[in-house]
Amino acid sequence: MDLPGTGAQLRAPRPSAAEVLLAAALALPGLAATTKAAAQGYPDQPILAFKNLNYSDSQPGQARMRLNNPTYYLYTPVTELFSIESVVTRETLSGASPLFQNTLSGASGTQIREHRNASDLKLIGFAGHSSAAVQVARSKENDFLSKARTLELRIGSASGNTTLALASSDQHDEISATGFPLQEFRATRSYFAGLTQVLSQVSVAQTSVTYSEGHGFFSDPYKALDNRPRSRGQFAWLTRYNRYFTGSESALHLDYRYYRDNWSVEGHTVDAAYYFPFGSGWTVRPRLRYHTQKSAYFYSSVFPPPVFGKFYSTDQRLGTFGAVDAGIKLSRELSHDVTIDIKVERYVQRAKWRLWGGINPEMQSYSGNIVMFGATKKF
Amino acid sequence: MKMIACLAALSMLAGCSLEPVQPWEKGNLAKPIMQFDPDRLEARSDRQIFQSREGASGGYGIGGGGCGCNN
Repeated sequence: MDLPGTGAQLRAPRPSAAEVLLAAALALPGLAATTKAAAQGYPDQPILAFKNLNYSDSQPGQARMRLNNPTYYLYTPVTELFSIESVVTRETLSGASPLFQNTLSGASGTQIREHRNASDLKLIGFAGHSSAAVQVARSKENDFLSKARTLELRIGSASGNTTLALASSDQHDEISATGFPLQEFRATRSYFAGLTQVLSQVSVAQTSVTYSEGHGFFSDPYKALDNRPRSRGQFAWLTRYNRYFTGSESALHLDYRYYRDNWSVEGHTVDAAYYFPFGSGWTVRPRLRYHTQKSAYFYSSVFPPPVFGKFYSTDQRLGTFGAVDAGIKLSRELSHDVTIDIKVERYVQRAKWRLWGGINPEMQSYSGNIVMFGATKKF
Repeated sequence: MKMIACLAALSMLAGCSLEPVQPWEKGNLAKPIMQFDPDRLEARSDRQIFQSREGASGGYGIGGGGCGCNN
């Protein structure tokens, strides 16, 4: 679920004065059904989009995983009061996973190749300044099946300057293993509350909290002696701020997220992006993201564990580290309705980039390259 | 509960202290680059990548199926 944009997602990229006036008129209650969608942060016209993600990661001296992920997106109003949104993706994963992260191949040296097919469908209904949505999602791999359903409610103020979003989600996962018998389950219930507020003619802010509680199997079935608690409660508080600069017609996006869970993982994430339109339909977007986290209480870089029978994991993702993601995205409007884009980013994790101390400062560094291209067509 | 109280307080604070922006003043806010997620597919992909590489996740919303990569 994405949070709404406070009724601002109404029109073409560079509205003229006439378009702004028209949009303002359309924003008056009851004048146009399409604004009901826009007022809730949904598109007000059909959209078909495609993205292809190529991701490859490595550790010193060795290439690890490669991922290719084409994804298709469709959004279309069905009637004045209902819309459908759907995403379909097929992911192909190959190579060897990072050491200490998932030892499916890391321990044995065996190369893997697997697929993940995922799809979701969302039905959205609009009424007045509010909307309600139901989403179902399914993701299938050789050794993992996930099904989820989400209910979402968005309530907008009459002015369109404030929107409250509430959601609840249930997810059921079936976990098996390739090469040996395993049949485990995990159930997760999540709650979401978010508030979007227009601050001025050029700035908007959003704050939201998410709490998820899962029960069941959390261990890595491919990692020897990996033994994690059978429940996990996760809390995240995200605050976002967008600022428009009239002179350069550019926009700055700033996000900050605080995270904490009952495995004692605690994290801070800052994400900054700057959208700068130039020339004829071009936009360039540099981006910088920093994440730091403190390890889970049962994380260890020592193998085998010094004491058996206690919770234990060497999964790098549960360790203490800092991570930087930096990159650039370039997009071009080919016409009023068609946009193409490409982005290149590099992601690096290092123990010494952590914000605070913790276990395993000798953790191996880890890096990944992200290349994504896509096209979007509005109808 | 504390978070809900904070959100409610923020909401009231925003309603009390901010000059309401009129519909005809939202031309710049309407631009795609001012949306929180101008590219929904990219945002979705980003979250999956970071979620499968880090111990922290969430905050951007809920919904969508899980992934064995997060195990």
